[in-house]
Amino acid sequence: MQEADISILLIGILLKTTLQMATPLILTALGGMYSEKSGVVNIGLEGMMLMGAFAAVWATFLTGNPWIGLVAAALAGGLLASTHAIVSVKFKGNQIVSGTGIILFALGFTTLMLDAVWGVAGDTPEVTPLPKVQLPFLADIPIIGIVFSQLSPIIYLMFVLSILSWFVMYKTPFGLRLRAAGEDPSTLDTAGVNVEWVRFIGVVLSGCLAGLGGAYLSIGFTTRFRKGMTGGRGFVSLAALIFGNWAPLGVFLAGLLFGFLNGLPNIIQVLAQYNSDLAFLMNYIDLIAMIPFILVVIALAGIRKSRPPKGIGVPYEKEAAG
Amino acid sequence: MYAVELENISKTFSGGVQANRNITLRIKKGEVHGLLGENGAGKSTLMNVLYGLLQSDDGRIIVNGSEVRFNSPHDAIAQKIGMVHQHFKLIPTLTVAENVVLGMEPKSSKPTKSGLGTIVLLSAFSIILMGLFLPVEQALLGALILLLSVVILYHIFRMTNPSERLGLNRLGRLGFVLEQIGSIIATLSQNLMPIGYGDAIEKIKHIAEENGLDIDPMAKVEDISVGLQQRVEIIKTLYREADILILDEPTSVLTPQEVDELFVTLERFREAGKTIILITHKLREPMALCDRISVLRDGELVGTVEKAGTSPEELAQMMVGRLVVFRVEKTPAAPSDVVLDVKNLEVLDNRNLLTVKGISIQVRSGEILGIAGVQGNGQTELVEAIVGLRKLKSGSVRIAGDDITGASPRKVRAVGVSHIPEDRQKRGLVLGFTVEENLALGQQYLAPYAKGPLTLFLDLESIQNISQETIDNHSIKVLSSKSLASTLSGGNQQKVIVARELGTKPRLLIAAQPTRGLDVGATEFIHKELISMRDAGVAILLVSAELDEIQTLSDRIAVIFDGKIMAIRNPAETTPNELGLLMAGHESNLEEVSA
Amino acid sequence: MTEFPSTGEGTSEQGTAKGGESNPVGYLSGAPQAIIAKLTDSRFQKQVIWTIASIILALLVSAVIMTMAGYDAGRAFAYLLVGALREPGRVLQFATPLILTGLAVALAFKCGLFNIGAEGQLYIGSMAAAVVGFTISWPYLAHPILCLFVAAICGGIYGLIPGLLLAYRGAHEVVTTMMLSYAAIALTTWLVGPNGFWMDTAGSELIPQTPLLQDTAILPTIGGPYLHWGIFVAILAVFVVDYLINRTVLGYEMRAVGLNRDAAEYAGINSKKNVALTLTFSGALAGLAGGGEIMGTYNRFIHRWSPGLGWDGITVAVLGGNNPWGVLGGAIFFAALRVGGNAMQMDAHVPIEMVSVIQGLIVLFVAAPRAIMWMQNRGVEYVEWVKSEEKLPLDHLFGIISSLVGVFISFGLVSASTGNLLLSVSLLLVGVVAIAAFAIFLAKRRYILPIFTILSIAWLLTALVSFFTGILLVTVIAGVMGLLSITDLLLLRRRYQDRNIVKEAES
Repeated sequence: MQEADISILLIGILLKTTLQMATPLILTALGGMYSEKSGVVNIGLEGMMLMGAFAAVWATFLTGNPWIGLVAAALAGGLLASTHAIVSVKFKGNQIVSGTGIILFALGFTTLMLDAVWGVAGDTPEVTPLPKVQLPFLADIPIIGIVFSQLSPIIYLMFVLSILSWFVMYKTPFGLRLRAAGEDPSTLDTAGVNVEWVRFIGVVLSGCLAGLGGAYLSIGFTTRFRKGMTGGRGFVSLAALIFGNWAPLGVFLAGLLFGFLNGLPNIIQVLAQYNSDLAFLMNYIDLIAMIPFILVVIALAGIRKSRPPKGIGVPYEKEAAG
Repeated sequence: MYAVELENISKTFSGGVQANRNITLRIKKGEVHGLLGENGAGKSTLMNVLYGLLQSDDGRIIVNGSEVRFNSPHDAIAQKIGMVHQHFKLIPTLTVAENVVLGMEPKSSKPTKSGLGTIVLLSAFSIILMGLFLPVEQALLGALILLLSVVILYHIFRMTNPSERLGLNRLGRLGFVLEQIGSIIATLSQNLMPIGYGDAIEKIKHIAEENGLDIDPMAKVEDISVGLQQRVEIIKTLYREADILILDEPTSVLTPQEVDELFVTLERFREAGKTIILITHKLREPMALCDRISVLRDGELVGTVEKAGTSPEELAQMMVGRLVVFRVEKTPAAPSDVVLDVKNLEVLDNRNLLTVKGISIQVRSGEILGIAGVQGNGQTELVEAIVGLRKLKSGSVRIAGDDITGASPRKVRAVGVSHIPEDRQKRGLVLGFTVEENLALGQQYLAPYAKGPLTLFLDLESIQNISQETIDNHSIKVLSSKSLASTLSGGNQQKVIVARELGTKPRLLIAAQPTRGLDVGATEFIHKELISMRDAGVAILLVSAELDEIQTLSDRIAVIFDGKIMAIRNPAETTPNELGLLMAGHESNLEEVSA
Repeated sequence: MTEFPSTGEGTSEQGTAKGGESNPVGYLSGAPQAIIAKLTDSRFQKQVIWTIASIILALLVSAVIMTMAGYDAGRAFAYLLVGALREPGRVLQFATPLILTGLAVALAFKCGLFNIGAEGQLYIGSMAAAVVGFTISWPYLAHPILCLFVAAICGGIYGLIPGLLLAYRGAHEVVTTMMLSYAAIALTTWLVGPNGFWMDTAGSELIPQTPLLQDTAILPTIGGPYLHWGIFVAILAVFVVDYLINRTVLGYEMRAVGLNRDAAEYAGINSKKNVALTLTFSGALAGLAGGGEIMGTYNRFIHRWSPGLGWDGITVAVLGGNNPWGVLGGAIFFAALRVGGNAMQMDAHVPIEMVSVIQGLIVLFVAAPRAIMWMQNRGVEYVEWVKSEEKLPLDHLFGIISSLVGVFISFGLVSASTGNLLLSVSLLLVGVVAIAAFAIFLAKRRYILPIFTILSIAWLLTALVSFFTGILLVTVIAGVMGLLSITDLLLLRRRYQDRNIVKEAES
């Protein structure tokens, strides 16, 4: 009986960790989808996440209300993304270069502001995080009860946004236009739609969602902002986006997979605590941390052929249409 | 009464090319108006200005008597102008219906399942979350507010243009702000309400039936033939209720029979009172269909003539500015040894479909074999397979006895094959390279372009000297041999490619669409070059979609349809009509001439 | 020679076409020719001008950010400059790895590839150099060369993997190189950790690091404690890469593949081979950078030692326009920023991360060369707009008066709370602008447009300042006022356009 309980508990923790790790990835990757489907490469997601994470803590610190922090995160991410949009859509600059600039700027700016606002170098003081949600009617179900206990509302928001993204992408005019802008912008232009606007909005949306993803890290999962706290999650989201074939459902599943792999070291720590036979795994924790990255490479190379939007990365030049 | 009046239109591109110079054109309501001119004469530019895709530097556009200002095609569509572009503006991965509604998506008249489902799901989510965070009374209140706002938003969304309805623009400053907000809401509603595909498909089917343009709205565009794709383009304009139809070179991708069908459709449109502008560089078409014909040359309007009062010869002279020799002088061919020997070639295309289905051809030295056919019947794959760019499924390729089946492109070039690719900007040139670098392309690793041990290093000096010589010999107009290839005009770009490919002293020359998009002068130049190469004993495989070109140049004509050679004909003993039938896949009664 | 009738497309060049003879550059030969050609090339000039403009713009924006955040921007820049000039040896030491990683990224860019994972190749290279450096004993000159060689080989192999995956499996190099770089950091951390093979067990503290390198493997320093022989390796690499790209067949083929893969393949160039080779060379350069740092600066491999040299390589390549000599300049510039940044942190108390902000801004500006064209066009348009005579409708008085009222209320709020100097000054400024607007409106009713522009900008800046000082109510007021002024501008613009259309119709 005892052992069965523990294994159920372990599975529950495993699933919960996966969900927690996957949430920022999925949110950010969904954001990346809006940008890349519209034909704009966005490697600046990492920077937008970081900005969101920081803005969330700052606004919470100023107002005392984490919900305002959540909104501020989306706004800050969107604002930074609009810079990317101006450079790469309006001025038709190199999208990858611009994205690199975004990352550098966000990394420096957030750390600078740590000093300017709190006078600290590494961590901010703690702020009120978003209240955890306890679903009453689920608590008694064996595994699900553990998974869905004390989750941040952003996780539920992630589910909502995943569904909404599917709807927007495939059922609404905006989605159709977005996809058209990424496949063949000149066709969209001849259909009488302003390509620059569609792309602009796509990029800004991507920043908003990445900002939310960052906010989860700072006021959802933890209670403070730490210098460089995204730790490459923006890039992993980008990989999830490519792995998920630029589609909402694919992105969701790929995000879960990468979340699981990302959470693997934590999960192994828990396992090693409960089962001394597995304690030797702790010696290889760094090697295990490698696995997700290697898997992504193998998956990209071997398992599936991804089909990116045709017009991706190429600024739309109107003159060429004539 | 004029449907369209273009007054003093001028357009200069940012590169400095003046495409339109002070053009004044008047098009009567209900007529079929031909816009004739060579490639590069400025026809498409002029029509893109009328369609709002480009903005003219100068001049006025008057539609149905009132002056208009087109900032984007959106404005032109609102004035009931529709355009079918030469390169179709369709997105291959979307369905026909999606392509047709793009930019003018209908809102569904009844709630769609996915829309309702999403709203219900999201509302349920929000209510559950509120139930968790708030006390019961507040949660109920919240749910009520949510419900109300959903209903209100839904009704706001249903209004097409709130600012127009409320007459806000008369309210001055406050009205301005409200109007902006209104337009934002309108845009949101236009963009985020589910698309009513049901209604759209109904309408497409209705249009299709009415005009005899049969189409399956649910098919993906990438899966249907080029002719059907053009049909989709026409339906797209009709869906937008266009009264003025611009067709840019509509016949260039069609078989002669399909062209006839298209003309029947256009005839029907004319009877329905629509105005049609037909852009073309072929003389046959305006003479068959148009009421009046305007001729452009070098960006200027040469004149507008009634069909009844003109002749093809006069039009040709207006178009080119001098008397045109329709036939290139050539002596009978003197074929000798077999150079290219292709046997039972089978090739897959990018989607892994069998596209070349067992082709066997031979080309002898000193002859031109023309391959006639509508685009997309396997010509591209055939050529790519011969030059080593595409894997063969089965079959063999020999060049003068050397087996080059499956050899690398470099090996194929090394045995004496030159190739003028069909898309010069994509495949023939590196536009970011200078002209001299482009002239060395393909032989950069051989002396005299390279030097040093194992010819590892470029000999920049000799590259420059050779290029300068080539530029002079072929009178390529370029500022310096160090200018970027992208700064050259289309004709000069093609001359760079031709000069390069002929400079390698090939045994076999494969020329794919060598004169596409070139004016008469450049075309003549390239035709003469090809014939002099033939006379020098080179075997030439000519692939072209232009029947005229094939008939003029070829010593033998092979007709390709659906990846198979239908027949091989002697140009002197065949007619365009017969070739057209063969190109459309009709078996000929005549016995096949052995290859 | 064939006579070619000039019809159709020929017209565009007739004015300028001269043929080769009149080209003064054409008959010079050798290396000077290439340099002169480069310097006289207008595209090159434009690029250089825009790069310099970007740096200036980025510094301007940084100054605004620093002032907003409450730092002394003037002092910061002064120490930035002094700090960089004070220690040229230090600057060159910082520049050494940046030159190499910059070259790595630039070389890949030339072949149309984006090697975002130079960081990983750098780690692998440095690990290899460290291992060869402390396990083997070789004579003085040979040992460093061997170490650098092994570093380049290992970095190259680590670049070859994504190269092969891209060439033969179509795996996107941006993702694979990035993933492999995270993997490399994790792998090297494990290798020098307690469970790995090469941990230094001699010291009392167990830091994940290798033992010190043998003396024979360490690169000697030049003229001071910092600068080491690695700089010569880096400069040599600049020469080699420049020669490779511009003067060898391989470089030619790489560029052809990078610019147009289809055309290169049609011309018989094996694009797969070139892609794999390019990433190998790129990886080798990054590996060399890592090896040089370990042997010249750190003297051992310490886990996670790199402060993001691979990432900075991207910035350097961008700033240098992917030109090897540009990379050299860009690397030295960034190194100077870093060294100056240290001084700035010590003496002006501005965190060194400010440097990263400046870098990011520079890159963003460099990415948008069209901005200058846009600014020109907008400027011309704006001047025309300002010049156009207009009777101002009365309702704009509303905007001005509400601005004045807003200033009064804000002043009250500010003096009621802390009384921040910066905020007071900016409010005063807004007040002056608003009064000026009022006066102009009453007197001449002209040139109201620039006033409204300044007013809206001033209000928005005030909103920012008050947000940073924490007086949120003023932020709200200033924000609303800013939006109001912008509305005025938009309305004026609409009226101007309407007038234009009417005028055109009349003419």
